Amino acid sequence: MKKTTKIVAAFAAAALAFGVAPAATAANATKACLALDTGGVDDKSFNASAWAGANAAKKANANVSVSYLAAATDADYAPNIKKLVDSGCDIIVGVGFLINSAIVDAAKKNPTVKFAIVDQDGEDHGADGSVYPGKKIANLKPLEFATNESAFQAGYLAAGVTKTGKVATYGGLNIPPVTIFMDGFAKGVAHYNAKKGKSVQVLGWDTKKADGTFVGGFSDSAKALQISKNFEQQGADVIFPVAGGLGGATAGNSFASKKSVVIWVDTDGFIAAPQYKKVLLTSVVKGVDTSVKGVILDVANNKFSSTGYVGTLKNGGTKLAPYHDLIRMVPSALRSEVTKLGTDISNKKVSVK
Amino acid sequence: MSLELRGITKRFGALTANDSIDLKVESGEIHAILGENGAGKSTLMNIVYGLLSPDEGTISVDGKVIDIESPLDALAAGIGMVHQHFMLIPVFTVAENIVLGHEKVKGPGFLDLETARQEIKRVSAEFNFDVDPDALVEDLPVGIQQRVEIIRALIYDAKVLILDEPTAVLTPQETDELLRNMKKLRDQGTAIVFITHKLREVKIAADKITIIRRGAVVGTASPSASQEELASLMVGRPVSLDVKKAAPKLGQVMLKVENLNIHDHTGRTLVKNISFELRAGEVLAVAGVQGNGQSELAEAIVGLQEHIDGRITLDGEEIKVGRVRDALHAGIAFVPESREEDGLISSFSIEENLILDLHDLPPFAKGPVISQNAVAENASKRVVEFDIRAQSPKDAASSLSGGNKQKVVLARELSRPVKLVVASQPTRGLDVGSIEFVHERMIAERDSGRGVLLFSTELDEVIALADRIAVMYRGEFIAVVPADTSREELGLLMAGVKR
Amino acid sequence: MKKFLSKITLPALAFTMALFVSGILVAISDSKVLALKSSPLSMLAEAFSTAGSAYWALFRGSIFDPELAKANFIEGFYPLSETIVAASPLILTGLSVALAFKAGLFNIGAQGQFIAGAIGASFVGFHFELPIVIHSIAAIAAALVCAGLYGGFVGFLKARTGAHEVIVTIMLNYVAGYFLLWILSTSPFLRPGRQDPLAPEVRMSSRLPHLFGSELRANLGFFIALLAAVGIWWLLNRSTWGFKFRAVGANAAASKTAGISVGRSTTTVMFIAGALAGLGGAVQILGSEPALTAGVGGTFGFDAITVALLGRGTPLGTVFAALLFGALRAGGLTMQASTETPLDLILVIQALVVLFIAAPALIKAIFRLKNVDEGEALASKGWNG
Repeated sequence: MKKTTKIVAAFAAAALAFGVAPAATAANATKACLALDTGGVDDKSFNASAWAGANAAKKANANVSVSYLAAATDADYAPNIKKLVDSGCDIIVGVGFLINSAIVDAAKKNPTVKFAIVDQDGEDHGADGSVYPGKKIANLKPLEFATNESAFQAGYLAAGVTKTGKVATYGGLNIPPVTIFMDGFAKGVAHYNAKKGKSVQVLGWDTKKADGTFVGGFSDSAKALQISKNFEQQGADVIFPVAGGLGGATAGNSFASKKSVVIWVDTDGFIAAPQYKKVLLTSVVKGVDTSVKGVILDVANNKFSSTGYVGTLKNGGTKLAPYHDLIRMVPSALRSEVTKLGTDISNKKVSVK
Repeated sequence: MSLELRGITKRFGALTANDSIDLKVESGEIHAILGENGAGKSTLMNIVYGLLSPDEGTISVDGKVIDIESPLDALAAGIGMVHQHFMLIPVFTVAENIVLGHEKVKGPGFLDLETARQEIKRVSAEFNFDVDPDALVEDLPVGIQQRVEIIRALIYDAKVLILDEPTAVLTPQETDELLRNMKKLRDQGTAIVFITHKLREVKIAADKITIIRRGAVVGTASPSASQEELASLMVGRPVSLDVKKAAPKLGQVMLKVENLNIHDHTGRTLVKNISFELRAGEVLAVAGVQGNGQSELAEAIVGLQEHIDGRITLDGEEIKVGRVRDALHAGIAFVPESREEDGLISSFSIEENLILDLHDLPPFAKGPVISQNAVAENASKRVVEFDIRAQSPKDAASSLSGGNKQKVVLARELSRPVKLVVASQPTRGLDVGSIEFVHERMIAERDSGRGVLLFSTELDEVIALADRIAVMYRGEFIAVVPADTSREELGLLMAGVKR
Repeated sequence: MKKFLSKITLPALAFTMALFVSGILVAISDSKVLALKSSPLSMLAEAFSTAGSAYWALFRGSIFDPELAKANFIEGFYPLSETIVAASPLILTGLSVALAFKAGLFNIGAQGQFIAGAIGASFVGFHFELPIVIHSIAAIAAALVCAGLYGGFVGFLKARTGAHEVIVTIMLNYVAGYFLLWILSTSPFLRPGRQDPLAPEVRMSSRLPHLFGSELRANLGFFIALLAAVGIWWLLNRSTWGFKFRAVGANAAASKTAGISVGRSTTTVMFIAGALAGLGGAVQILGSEPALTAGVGGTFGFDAITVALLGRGTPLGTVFAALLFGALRAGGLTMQASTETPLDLILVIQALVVLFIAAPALIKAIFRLKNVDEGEALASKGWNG
């Protein structure tokens, strides 16, 4: 062995020796971990939003440290959660609808670790998922969102803004956390029609059949683009994509065609995807970040409970974002109607069901 | 002017390509450097021309030691070289090729070709070269291309002209023309270094002969020495150049080719309307300058050519397009023109190369398994029978010398039951010893009642082996002549002049 | 032995170099280290500590975790089991690429063939009710046939029309990916009560048994992969078929001249290569991921190319390279989960290992080595090497 080799070997040995000594940690530190789905931490949608919430919790409480694992394939959910359990996380937040069964299994196996799940009820529905209602789990907190409330407002707004009398929506997958937006949106349009005696059409969602237009996933931007173009050709001038980061394809198309505007989903698109700000009417915000921040701080403060969290207009867990640059498209009368509608929904004067 | 090399040594790793070589070339003489392939001739000349730098030794011109680090230095010192493979750009004209690297401009950035044209015309007229400065190089026959190279050297005032295997690509007539021109240049005072392994040419042209073997000078000889003497010096042991053969005992027709036409994939005709018969116990040699359709004809006979019309029968059985395996097993031994590309798999071991054709038949295959023992046993037998010099039969074929590679090909091809041997340029690039071996083997095959179809561009080889000679020119057999036809007549036929 | 040592010297040194360079990256990406730049000595100590704990996590995540072993000693090997689970499909796809490589073909299509195999295995796995063992065998057979035909088609096209396998396999990867998306939306593949692209889980009777108890995910798939590696070694080095494949791969012209049918060899090789990648898909579905989803392929088919290059195209080398990749993957997750070192750094290490191995001259220069076996330097030759 040459001299250089020896030096390298010595370095490696030293590095290992240093490393074996466990790093000293504060006595009451809380380690918060996110198990993300295949979208990854940069999806500009709910994964990113959850990670932002975790970092906000870290900022708010110096004893909190944060970490995440993103799944490469759907097979990674369970092993990733186990990795997080094994690395000593105190609270593990599963982000995404698909990760549910893995979180439920892990929560049952590790009663001393706290869990939370975004977009699911967090109940044990049995091995084949057919037991309803499911069993509550003491160390698992569901974080759900009544996004139909803000989507209802968005539908009303869209119906008020459209010039062609046609608005459109599409989803990533036909799953409840997606369709709840689409349904609320369509019903908001219907509310507008009933109130104003208009007949604004909704493309892409049929409230009676509870079915509509879907990409079939959250990563096929070519198909999302095709759907958006079809909507434009059919005359829609407001489009509400409920497909995470795929909204970028729709916004990009609107940006080029100038035939439509877009309502962003999950986060405030004006901030998350500023390149499209010229075509973003508003965003239907889902407060994944606030809910994740909340549950992490609860754990840090020993106030964790498994009672489900539901984000509503009332508690700020969901909301309609500001109109930003396109405010001129929205007459001030319509603006105050939309705001009023929000209050009415919160006070149960208007039903979004 | 005189060029003197002293103690030139060049090593490539463990190999000593030149071992302290001394050489002196005087103006007004043709100095032949004679040696086998791989003896170190080209290395030596590349050192003189500045393409390689020596590990030891000095080069002096007119008694003054000079440093040659690049061809430009060599040219400046009055040394010009014509390479075995021409260094010309085919799509440029003669004049453009000649000014390449020495471009002169006239006015604001205009290339001055006129001066070069005048120069070319002057030199061309002086030596009766007949070169048009405005012809495209790719349109010229190789013989003329070589003259362009020579003109280039002369225009840049070469006093020493190195010719590296200049006759390898020429027809016999072109060769004679070149040898005459060399003498003319010598008479005008140019020193010529003539690198070759062809004994006949050395005897015709050289004034002095230096013989190199394994990187070292082993002696000098005068042109009056016999070919046998020169060959023995070159090889290092007594060599017999005559192939001893008895009169052929002709048997039945082995190979029958009827109205054969071969096209390439674009539909261009490569072989035109060839018909002939070859009998058992006979060597039919196909002579011709490289590239006149010989390779395609040879391949067609084993089914390797795709686009053919006509009929090929071996001992009454038709050879079908693409059915190479059937052709080989029907009794054809095929020695392809390019050993490296078509004959052997260089990364495979010698034993594996020996069973390329038979690997899936007993005794080598037992069901789906290759019997390593049978393979090794076969190899040890063939290695002895064909005198294959290798450290171990398990070594890669790439480790073998050219001659031993050819022996591996022969050993494999002759180990099947054979009715016909088709050999394409079987001795190209081989040393004298291996050539001897191949020739003897060909005659032995003939004498044991097989037909031999030999393709060769070497007239000496054709004359030595053939019982009949077919001359191929532009895809046609322009003549089939008896073996005793004169060299001059064959040369004319090869150049396309019909009787 | 000496030969073996000289063969592994370069990969081992390349790996060490990659770890070393990555260690520097880990250290300087830590804000705590950078904060100490006024005092070089404590900065160095902190750097060692940071890199050390990252690599310690890498080890804990890929081989053995003493913390887990406290409760149950076997549990301590959970990380090794994860390494094996990640490596098994990769061994098979890697063999697929390596085999094709030996036969002179560049199989970029392992991804698509993997998916074809996964679809076949999944369908037989959930659709039929068969006795245990027989069910597994039937599912694997379905994967072999689907993927074999998928790969063999490429070989057939090349043999018949000369279509370049690189282009065809790349295109077929897209075809397989979108076909999977489509088929997941058809009724036989929809899980009852679900609308999203998620097939039913394969029945227990078809699953591959776990090797070390139900807690560890390592399963029979690993042995299937090792068996396949031995099989491919035998095929290449001992059988008449393998002889043809290697001959065609090393010199197609000479093989043709010696009477070997190049087209037949190409078609057969691509069939076997496809079947191998498909077996990878079956092992994934029957071993560790019982439900077919759109993401089933992961990057197994693409990593396979790197694994095969790293393994120098030999079956044994491919097994080791796949295990290394599996370990980096399993350990990398732990590294990220417990030390905030981003997983991307694992990709950096992988890339560096490949880089150093692909440039043997670099390693030789750094360590001033002479006379080590560079192998066939497959990685540095790449196309048509």
